[in-house]
Amino acid sequence: MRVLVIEDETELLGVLVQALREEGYAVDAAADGEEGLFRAQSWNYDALVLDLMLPKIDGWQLLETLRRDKKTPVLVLTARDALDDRVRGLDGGADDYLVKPFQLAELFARLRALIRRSNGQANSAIEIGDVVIDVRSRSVSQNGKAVALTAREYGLVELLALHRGEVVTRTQMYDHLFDENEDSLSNLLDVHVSNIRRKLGKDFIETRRGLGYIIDAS
Amino acid sequence: MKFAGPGKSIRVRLLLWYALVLVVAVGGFAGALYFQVRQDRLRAIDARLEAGATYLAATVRGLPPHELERRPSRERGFDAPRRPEDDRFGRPPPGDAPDGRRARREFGPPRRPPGPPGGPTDRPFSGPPAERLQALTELPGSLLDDPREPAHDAPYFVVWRADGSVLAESARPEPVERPIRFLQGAGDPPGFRWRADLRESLLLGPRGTLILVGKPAGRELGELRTFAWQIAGSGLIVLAVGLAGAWFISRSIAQPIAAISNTASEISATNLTRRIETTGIDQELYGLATVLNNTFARLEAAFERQSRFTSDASHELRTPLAVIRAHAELALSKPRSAEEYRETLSACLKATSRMATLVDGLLVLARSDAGRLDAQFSHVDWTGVIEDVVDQYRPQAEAAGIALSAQLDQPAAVSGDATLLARVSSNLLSNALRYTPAGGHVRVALARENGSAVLSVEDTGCGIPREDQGKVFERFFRADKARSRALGGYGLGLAICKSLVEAHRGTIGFTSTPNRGTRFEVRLPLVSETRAAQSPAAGYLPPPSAGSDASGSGPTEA
Repeated sequence: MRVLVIEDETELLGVLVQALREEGYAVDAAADGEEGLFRAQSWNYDALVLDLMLPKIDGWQLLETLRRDKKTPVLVLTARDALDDRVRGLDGGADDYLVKPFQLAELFARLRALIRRSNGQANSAIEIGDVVIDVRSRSVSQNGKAVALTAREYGLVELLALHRGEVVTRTQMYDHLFDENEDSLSNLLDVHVSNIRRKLGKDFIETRRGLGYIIDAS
Repeated sequence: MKFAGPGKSIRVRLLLWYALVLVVAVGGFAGALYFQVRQDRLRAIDARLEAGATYLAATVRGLPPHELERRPSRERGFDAPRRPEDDRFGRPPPGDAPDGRRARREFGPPRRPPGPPGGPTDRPFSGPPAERLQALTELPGSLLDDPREPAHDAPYFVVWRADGSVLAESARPEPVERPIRFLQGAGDPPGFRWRADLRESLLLGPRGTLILVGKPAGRELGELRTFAWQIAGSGLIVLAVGLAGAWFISRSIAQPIAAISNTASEISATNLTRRIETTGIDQELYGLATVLNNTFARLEAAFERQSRFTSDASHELRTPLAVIRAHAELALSKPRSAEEYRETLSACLKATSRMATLVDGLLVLARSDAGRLDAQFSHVDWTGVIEDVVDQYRPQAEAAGIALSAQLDQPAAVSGDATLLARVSSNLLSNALRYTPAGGHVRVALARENGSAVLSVEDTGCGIPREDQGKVFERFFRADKARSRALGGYGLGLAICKSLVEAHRGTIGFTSTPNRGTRFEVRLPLVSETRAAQSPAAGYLPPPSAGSDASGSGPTEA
């Protein structure tokens, strides 16, 4: 999953990016509203973490502009906790609201819920045949037994599972699994897929030649 | 007037007052009118009766003396038993007046006596004495003949001799006895009396005769009664109309007041954005409503300023808190290397010192607002204080490549707290250095001017944008947020300066040209060396002027 963090407080931006990366997200960062809006408009992020008090373009304005053509889930992060601010943020197109100082665990949980809901998945556990993907604990089990996946492998499985029954293109995969700082080779994706197939069974991920990959094609 | 409960209401008091005034006025007027009319009517009757009496007196005067002195015979006295041929007044039938007899029996309108032809007999009868007595059975026609008068209301008369016997009389509705108190005494003017609803006039005639002329006044009394009822009715209508008017007018006063007080209480209870409706409201209340609205507007502005300040303060405090928390959580989420822990700790330290600076600034402002700066007021050498501050900033200016010059050769003694005054100059100087690019100048100077010491801090920096010049003393105001934050500012420095300078009874202002530079000026009253001891008591300072917004001092919106 790829998220964009827009926060003008450089210290906070740094620690957020690091924490989200450790959580398995591909993370892009923007330090002001202008850059943030540009990035948010040019990529299909899985979610946006947005501070409202931003230089150049403030958070509300950014939301309003973004909402004209993007449905990216937005988690607003701000030190303003007045009711009016929260109402204004949510009415302005935010999907969720978190007041500083927040706990990282809560931020992660809200992000997961946002991404899950935006993919039309209400439950935090996705069942595909005998495989159960627990989005909350970021773990995968088969026939009740835990299967050890790397963070990258898990991200790929989660992405495919959230789009079950649809073909996910290689471009989409790159967009959602790697952030711009990662210098990944295209065959790396194939390596991850073959590793997953080794762990979860050959038929878990199907290949559609020239298109991409699909889970649960029925 | 004493009333429980409702008496407190202006409206009720007003109504009661109206009612009282109306009752007195209408009642008085109606009463006066009635008595005037009644008096007129009675006088008209009395005049007729008096004229009748005078006529009779003149007629009697012409009678032969024996008629007046003759003692009544036993048969003729009023003590004598009534004979069958006597009429019901005990008088013998006057055979010579056949039509008169019938008329008297029926109480009909008295017929005019057969007086001399031509003209009514309103002068006393002046014929021979024998005929005079004859004439005495009737009153002159002009006194009696009122065509509107029904027969039974016609006047009647009796003439008694001095010994109490009846000399002459007309037909009359009721028997009448000679009043005892008129037996003696003589003359004019005639007395009047009421006997039931009979109005009678009594006159002492010649030689001890007593003349009574009377008239049933029932019709007049009835008319007067009707008149009284009519006046009373009209009075009640006037009273009712007046009170109804008073009721409506008092309601039109009381209702808008109630509406205003309702709106006002709603405003204070819920939100301050509402206002009292002032269109179409009475002039007197318009003033009140406007005053209230202005008060609400000021209150709202104060609330808004306060809530913006709180929100800004919480924002500024929460952000470093969020940094500390996120760093700590992340560091604890899994085992890290010593280098990573060191980075985390130093990031936390940075955030902590930032919060400390902020809390310190907020505390100074809060104390200053409350008038409880822990100030040690004494005689301070301001020049020395500024010198120290300038020396502190020299390394920073040098590192930034800014030329820092100071012109501090004039001694200036002011009354104040050295630490707080140092803070003022330090804030101004750090601001100047922060917004001046490398190669620029910052000049600090202290001058004496009209009993004031004037500190000026001038830079060749970026200046303050015109649209922001009115807001620089507002708390948490920053012309360029991103840049200010990057440079470590919170937007409190100038607010603190203003607050402290005002606590020292001074003023602060500035002139600024964008891209040219800014010059801040602080003016404090000088104290003479000898009066230094009379500085205000330490520890207490009056709060600065309310609001402490930018409009209070300095050139704003130049």
